Amino acid sequence: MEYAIKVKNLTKGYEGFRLEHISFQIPKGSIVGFIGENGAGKSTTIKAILGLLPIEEGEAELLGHNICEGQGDESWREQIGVVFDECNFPVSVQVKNIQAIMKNIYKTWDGEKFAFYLKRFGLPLNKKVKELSRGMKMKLSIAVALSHDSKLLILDEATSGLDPVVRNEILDIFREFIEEEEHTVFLSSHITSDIEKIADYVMLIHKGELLLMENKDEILYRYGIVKCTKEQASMIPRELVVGKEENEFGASVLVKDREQVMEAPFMKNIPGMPAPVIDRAGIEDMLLYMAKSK
Amino acid sequence: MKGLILKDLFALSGYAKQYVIALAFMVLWSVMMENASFIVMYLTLLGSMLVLTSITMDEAVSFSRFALTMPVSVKKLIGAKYMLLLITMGVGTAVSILFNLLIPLLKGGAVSRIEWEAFLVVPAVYLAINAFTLPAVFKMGAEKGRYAYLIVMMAFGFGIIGGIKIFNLPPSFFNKIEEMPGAVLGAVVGGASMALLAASYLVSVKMVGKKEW
Repeated sequence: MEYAIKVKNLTKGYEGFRLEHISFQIPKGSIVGFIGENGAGKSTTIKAILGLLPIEEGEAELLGHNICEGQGDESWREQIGVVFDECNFPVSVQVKNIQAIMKNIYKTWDGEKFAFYLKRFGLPLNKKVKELSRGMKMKLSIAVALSHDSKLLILDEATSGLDPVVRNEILDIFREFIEEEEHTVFLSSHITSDIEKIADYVMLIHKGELLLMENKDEILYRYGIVKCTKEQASMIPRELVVGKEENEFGASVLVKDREQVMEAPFMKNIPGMPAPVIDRAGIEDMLLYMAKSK
Repeated sequence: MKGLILKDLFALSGYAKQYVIALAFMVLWSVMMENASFIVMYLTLLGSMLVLTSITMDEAVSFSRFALTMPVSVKKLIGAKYMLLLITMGVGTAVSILFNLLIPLLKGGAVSRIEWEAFLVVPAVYLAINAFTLPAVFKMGAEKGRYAYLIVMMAFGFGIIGGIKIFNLPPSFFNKIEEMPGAVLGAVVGGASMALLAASYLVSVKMVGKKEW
């Protein structure tokens, strides 16, 4: 399997926060959703792999290029489109001027493609960036990211603060982008519903530690939430428990393998005890339970 | 680098109206005074301020962080700001020279040597001030960098006055400068300010290279 992003032992510390030996690989041709609560380390990871932060330890490779090597040759960045959580063009620049700016930055800039996206997104050419709504600003940033030879899109909270209609439109664009075999999307978000809709893989980070990197469909199929009494919860094999929440009415337990738990003896009707209920777990449940249990 | 400079020029285009209004006022004033040499002081100062404004605009939207995800190196990113400074200073000086040539045509008379020297020395002094200030602006940000500007400008003023007093420079020292051929004076002042600016660029690149975005 070929990988668009390879990260090994990435370590970076700040006062009160540490990204600890993060390792992951993102297969080419996939959409990877990177989730975690605010301050979990999503943006630090993204900045580190983009070379925007000096790292303490480890290495990162984007499209086969080691980000710590070859300073001075930036041509590999032609193939990477990045969108942050805000539009990064000075607010007094007009939308139409961005064409002239970017074609002098990217050798592979495709003016026709940019014009196509501006039209598709309904972005007014004569307006200044400051006159655009947040949704329009983000669409402008995405149009820029897609209008050169991008093979890898890296988005850091690009859909946060947008209404569901605009978010859906943007997710459609990512789906189209991924139709090309070589194209990859790495998307960080705390809007788990977006990740659930679009991602092939889910990566979960919590307090600087990578807790999960798995195929999304497999997660949704395998993981489950068992709602039972506290006594029944204590009978679930420990190796299957990912996270647990207890209250005065009972317990709910996130388990790794729903089917295996369903077969367990305690799931059978025990006289005097209510039968446990097992539901499918969503990505949001994963985030909540994993974050709580750590 | 061209794209980055274009971005700055587009972003600053909103200030063009203010620039023209201020210039019109200066021209009116200089016609009345029959001397346009002070325009160069104003326009070169404005040139420096435009660069600082463009850095403030970039900071407001984290443009530099975004630019470094593109095929743009730190050298190009910083180099674009130094180029912008040379452009704004160059335009300011050229416009000043133009009015200094036009006003004597309208009113009669000629541009004196001291006025010509002003076109050389004033931009050179501003370039030197920027050479000292820009690394601080890149390190601390434009907001704090404005204070650095004021401090460096005052230090220049006090340095020159203090230097004359401390070293007890006689008037003949300045006469010698006056007597220097224009080309020599130009080469010394221009060369020194450009050398300072080049050193400043290298310091800024080093500082920004270590920055966390």
